[in-house]
This record gives sequence, C-alpha cells and structure tokens, in this order.
Amino acid sequence: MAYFIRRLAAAVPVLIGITFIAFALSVASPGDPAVELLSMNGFSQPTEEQIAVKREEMGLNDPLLAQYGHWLSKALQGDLGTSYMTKESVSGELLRRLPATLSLSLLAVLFAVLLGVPSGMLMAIRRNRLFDHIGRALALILVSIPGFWLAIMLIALWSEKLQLLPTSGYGTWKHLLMPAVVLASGTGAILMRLTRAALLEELNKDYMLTARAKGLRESFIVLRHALRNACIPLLTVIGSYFGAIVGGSVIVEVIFAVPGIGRFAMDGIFRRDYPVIQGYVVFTGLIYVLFNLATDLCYGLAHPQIRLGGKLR
Amino acid sequence: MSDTLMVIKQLDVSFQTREGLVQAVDGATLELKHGRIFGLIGETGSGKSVLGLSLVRLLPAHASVSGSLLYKGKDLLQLSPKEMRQIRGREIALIPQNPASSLNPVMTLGSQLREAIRAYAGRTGSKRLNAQAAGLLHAMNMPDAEQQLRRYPFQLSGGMKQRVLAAMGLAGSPSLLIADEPTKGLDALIRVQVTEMLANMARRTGAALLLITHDLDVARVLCDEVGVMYAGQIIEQGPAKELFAQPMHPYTRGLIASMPSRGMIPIAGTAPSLTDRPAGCKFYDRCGSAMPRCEAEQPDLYKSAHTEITNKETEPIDGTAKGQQAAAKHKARCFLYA
Repeated sequence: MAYFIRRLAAAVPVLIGITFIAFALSVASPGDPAVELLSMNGFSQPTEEQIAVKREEMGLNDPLLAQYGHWLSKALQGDLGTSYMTKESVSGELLRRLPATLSLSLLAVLFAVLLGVPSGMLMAIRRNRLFDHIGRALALILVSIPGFWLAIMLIALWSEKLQLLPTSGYGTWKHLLMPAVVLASGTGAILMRLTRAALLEELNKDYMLTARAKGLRESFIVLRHALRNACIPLLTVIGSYFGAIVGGSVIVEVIFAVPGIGRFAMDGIFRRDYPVIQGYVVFTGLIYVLFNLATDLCYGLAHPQIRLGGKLR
Repeated sequence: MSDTLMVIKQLDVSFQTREGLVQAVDGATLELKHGRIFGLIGETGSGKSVLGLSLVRLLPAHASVSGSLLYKGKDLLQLSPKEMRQIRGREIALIPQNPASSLNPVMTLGSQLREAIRAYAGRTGSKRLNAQAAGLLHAMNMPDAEQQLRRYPFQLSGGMKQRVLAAMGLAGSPSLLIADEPTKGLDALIRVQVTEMLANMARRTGAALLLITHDLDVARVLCDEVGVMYAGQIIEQGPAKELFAQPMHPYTRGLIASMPSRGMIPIAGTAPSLTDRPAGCKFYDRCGSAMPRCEAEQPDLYKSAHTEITNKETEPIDGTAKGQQAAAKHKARCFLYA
C-alpha cells in the first residue's frame, strides 16, 4: 500500500508538467486564438472591435499564469474547452471516441502478447534449434514491416480478394481484427525477442538448478519459476505500448477509418483546432501516467522486493 | 544387506567448448555408503561440483558423461529423463552452492518448500503442507518457522537461506544428499553450524552424504572418507583420519601444508588448463618429488603400504562384491607408491 501511494505521489508532478505543456501549446502557437475562432468559417473577416471583445471574453488579456489557473481549474472539472470547428465539448468528444480506441487497443495488446510471449518462451526453451531460428527470422521480418504497408496488404487479401473482412469502419469485432493485427505485429515481435532473452537469462540462474533438483517437471519450472522472474521487462513493454495505443494510433485509425482518438487528433491538427489538440495532449498524458502507474503496480505484484521496499540486487 | 548405496565407476565428464574439449572429471571411481559422509575436496575448478551435479544428471546440455552411476543397483545414466526426475529430490537430493542466488527471489519460502514436499508426497492438504514445511525449517533450527514461510528470500540472511536450502533438500527424505559447498559465502561460525547440522542429519536418517567442500577442516572433522580432486581426477582417497594424518600424494601434502593452521604454505604454480591437460601425472609441473616417468605416464591409484597390512582386502572397489569392508582403502594416484 505504501508502495502504491508513493507511485501515486510521483505521478502528480508529471501531470502538472503535462497540463502546463498543453496550455503552453495554445500560447506558443502562431496566430491569435480570437481571430482563429472568429474566422473559422473561412470567409468572415472579423473587425478590430469584434476581436477585442472576443479577446476579453476568452480571458486572453489576463496574465498568463492566471489564464493557466483558469484553464486548469476547468480542465480538472473535465472541461477541456470547445472545439473551434464543431463547437462541441472536447472532453465529451474524447469520451465518445474512447470505446473505439480502447477496444482496438485491448485487442491489439492481446494479439501482441499471444504472439510474443508463448513463442518467445518456446524459442528460449528450444534455443538454437529450428523453432528458435524460424522465430528469430519471423520477429525480424515483423519488426521491419511498416504498419501502413501491412494494413494495405491485409485489406488487399482479406477484403478485396477473400471478401471476408470489412475494409474499414467500426461496429463489429470483424472491423477490429485487421487494425489490431497491424498494431500488434511490431510489438508482438519485440515481445517475442524480449521474452526469449529474459527467459534465457532466468533459465541459467542458480535457483533453476534448485528447482530441478527437487524433481519438478521442466514445464512447471519454466512457467512457475522462470517466467515470473522474467516478466518485469515484458510488463514494461506491454504497459507503455498499451498506453501509447490508447492515446490514439493515428495511422491505423486513419487507414481503417476507426472513429477513435487518434483520428480525432489528426483532424484537430489539420484544422488548427487548438482546444482539440490541447485536450488531446492532456488526455494522452493522463493515459500514459495511468498506464505507467498500472505497470508499476504490476511490478509490485510480480516482484515482492519492489512491493516490500527492499533493495534490488 | 550391504551398506553400499551408490557406486560411481570410471566417471568421465567433458564439455565441448569454443576453446576445445574440457575434461572436467576424469575416471572418478568412488563408493557412497549409508550413514557415511564422503568429503570431496580440492581447489576451485578441480571438478568437484561437476562430479556432484553429474550424479543427479543436472549438468548443462553440452556436457557429455560416460562411465556408470550405480545407484541401488540401477545405472542412473541409463534412465529416461522422467525416471531420473523421480530420483531427484526423493532418492538423491542436491543442496546447491551459492545460497544467495539459489532460492527463487519472487516466491515465498513457504511456496518453495511446499512444492518440494508436494513433489514427493503427492497431493496433500495445504494445512498439512504448511505444517510439514514449518517442521522442516524447525529441524534446521530456524527461529519462528511458521512466520518464515511467508517471507521472501531477500528478507533472510545468508545463513538462513542456507538452512532453507538444506530443509528443501531433506524434504523428500533422500537416501543420498549431495551438498555442493553448502557453506560458500557464509561466515566462519555459521559455516561450522550448517555443516554439522547436515552431518548430524545424515547420521540420524542413515542417508549418505557427499560433501563437496574446499574447507579442509570441515572435511577432516566431519567426513568418514575423503577424496582429493586435482584437474578432474581423484588423486587420493581414503579414510579421513588416515588421509589427513598420513597424506600420500604430494598434492595432498601440499594442500594440508597450505591450511592456515599448518603454516599456510602455498603450493607453487597453478593447476593445468582443463582443455590442455598434461599426458602424464597432472601434478607433474608443480610436484617436488617428480620422477622422469611422471611426465609421460599416467599413474594408477596405488594403495598405501600402511593400509595393505591392516586391510587384507585387495579387490578393486566394487560395491556388490565386498561391501562390508571395515575401512575404505587409502590410495593415491602417484608413482611413489607403485
């Protein structure tokens, strides 16, 4: 519990930093937000007077720190401002888009783990045998394939030729399969190599000899003794990857037209919709912090020495 | 019934490495008896640990082992991996070296002990398992045995870890216990305590104990019989008292003279590389009494004149034929006794 509170406390300055950067984004960006807002429709030319009124209305004449405080207090209440373009609440839009991104991310992480961990384990056990060689070659290929290329190839095969899966959109599990595979391939390959390396290291440790000397079955020894010790680097990769794709996987969401958070951010950037970009930065920052926190907690579960606050060897 | 438990005959262990073939154990022949302690002494790298591990077939995969390991009449080298697994722990247990790293850091002592017990006892209730685990720790003089079960290895001192490992080794009430430098890395006081505990345990349960150590004092005081290893060979073996009182091999004499209590005189030179061992006597380069024939010819094990008189038995060591010998013969691999 003390460990959890310590990790939580450590996250606070990070969050403050993120909000500050997100706020600074609007200050540093070129152009006057008031002008941007008033000329959003593309043809009206706001007068000096209109701009001055709007500036006062948006609080742009206040000192910067006061503006930040004002913005932060609203952000803390869940109000990330309204989009210039749609005139709708940014946080509402983010929440609306979260399920799509979240289900896609969960499936992608599941695929990556299913691909990476068991095969990595088998590669370690069958070190320098055929399975290991094939696995290593496959991992290298998967890491090297660009996501967008894989996406196009998958669409060409499964949608165009075999007509089994929809090319794009969102709604059924079928829509999620291909984007999840694309997202999972690179990380799955990294997990493969990492699992292999981490497990190989554990298999050579002294406690493995102790376990074998007890007459335990080898499969039991690998699963119960070695894997648990090997899982810390795996948790690190899985955790930060999960955080990254929940924060929006722009390319995949755009290619497969998944109405997710990455897509939203992409649109915001193209339209210079600063509240959207700001909201996106805060949101992904928050997601990252949360996932890091969850990863830290998993460390604690996996490794009693971290949880109980002992020194790590 | 014969008191012989295991007969190791002409055991060779070699490793294929990038530097060449490493002959780690060369023609080791010894006999382990119920309730007796056999001490294996020698410098680091002389092959003691490899010999110990080869008895439970837990050497790395690139090791090649030949000879015979007759345990209760069965040759362990002929067993399938599954049969061998059933020998480990309940018939032959190993107490590994390096207590600091030999326990799994992420599992409680309780779960590590329980799985050892479960491996032999089969399915039992968790309450009984816990009681048994605590009992094992208690027998090892662990204070608060019940509480210790919930602790993790990093919360224990080195001596306590060693006791846990010893308790784990005894969980299956094995007939043969191999203790591979069980006191490595422990301070002097605990070293004696732990080793004595193991010795008492062996005597009480009637198990044989193979004690691998480089602590000559421990070997002299606790062991019934001692084998001295040098460059992969057992170059001298015999009853502990006799071996220390009248060492035969020049190397053994040198070892004894290098003990702190005997003046701490080091043996000149270094042991030969195991990839490129000399053809003749392995100790030739460092030996003060070397003769010309020692360089090219490999000496056999010769009996000491002393034992020849007291022990009329002249047959080679063979557990099946004459198990009930009064004392093991004292012999050395040196032409001085040819």
